[in-house]
Amino acid sequence: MWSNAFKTLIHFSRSIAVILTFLFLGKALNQLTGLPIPGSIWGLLLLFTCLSLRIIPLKLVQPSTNLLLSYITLFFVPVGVGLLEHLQLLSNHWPVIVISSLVSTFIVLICVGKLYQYLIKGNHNDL
Amino acid sequence: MIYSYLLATVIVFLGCKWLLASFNHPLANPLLWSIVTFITLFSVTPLDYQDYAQANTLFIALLEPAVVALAIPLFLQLQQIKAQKFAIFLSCSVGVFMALISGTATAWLMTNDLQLLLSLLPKSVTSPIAMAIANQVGGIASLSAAVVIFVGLVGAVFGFQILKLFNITNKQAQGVAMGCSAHAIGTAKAIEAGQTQGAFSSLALVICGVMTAILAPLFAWFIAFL
Repeated sequence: MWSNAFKTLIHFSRSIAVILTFLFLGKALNQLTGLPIPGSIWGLLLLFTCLSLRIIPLKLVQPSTNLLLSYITLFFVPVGVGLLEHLQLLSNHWPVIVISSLVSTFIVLICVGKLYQYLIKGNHNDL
Repeated sequence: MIYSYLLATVIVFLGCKWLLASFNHPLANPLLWSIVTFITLFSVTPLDYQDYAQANTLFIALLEPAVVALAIPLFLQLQQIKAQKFAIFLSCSVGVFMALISGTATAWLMTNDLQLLLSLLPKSVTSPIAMAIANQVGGIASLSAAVVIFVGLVGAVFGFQILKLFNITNKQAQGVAMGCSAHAIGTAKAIEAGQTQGAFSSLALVICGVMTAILAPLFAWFIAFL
């Protein structure tokens, strides 16, 4: 039983190490290229590429990612509370910000959703 | 001990989740009410927001590895993504143009403040990209960051309701629409909805983020001419 717990811990740590390595590589790419693409997005793309090319086996990364992704909404709580720091700036322009954000977000949701559904018509295997 | 604020985030979030679980309404969103709770707390009590922010840097830091981890649901949907690469690419391209045009046009009807218009430009992409774009085009990066969060919340709160209303029931379509319109916060909501929605939303988040980084400066140049 102890050896099982130990194995789980090792697998979990190994998976965290892989994720952090890709984040680090991503950050390096962000610095090197100077493009406005953040290190985490580069990391995502690199890890996705390595998984697709079977350089990194899925089993190696999976243990920690389920945990990270199931709490991703929780991590956004402090980000949202950070709006507090911009309350002054937001309140100066709130009608423009609120209306254009609502209108634009809804337009994009509807257009993209409808267009995608139209484009894949006849292929309903994932409905 | 300021680190009790880290625990407070967890307790308030799980509390909201538990309390709101039985309400089937888009406004019954745990993320929204957790944020409202803390903003109210720091606005009406003498408690210091800076302590909260300092304690919670851990969670904000965890967002970066979480974004890298989005590669896994993406990889699990590799076959479906390959099969629909044309639809995904075209939908995201249209989405990026729509986001840039509709956001700017609506704002332009209400204001002629150029700096505000430029700050609103990257509102549909994930905040590090949005802040970089704002700096590049002459907007206010912190205003962009705030608007990005607001847009994300709008998408997370109303997104699936709107999609349902307009009969957008295909899981892949829902994912792509959420990722295009509400970046990472929308993607977090899409992950809750299901694996397919999560993966397609992550993909749209990446594609739209990169496309917007390329197109926004061109748009900014155009807006400056208006």
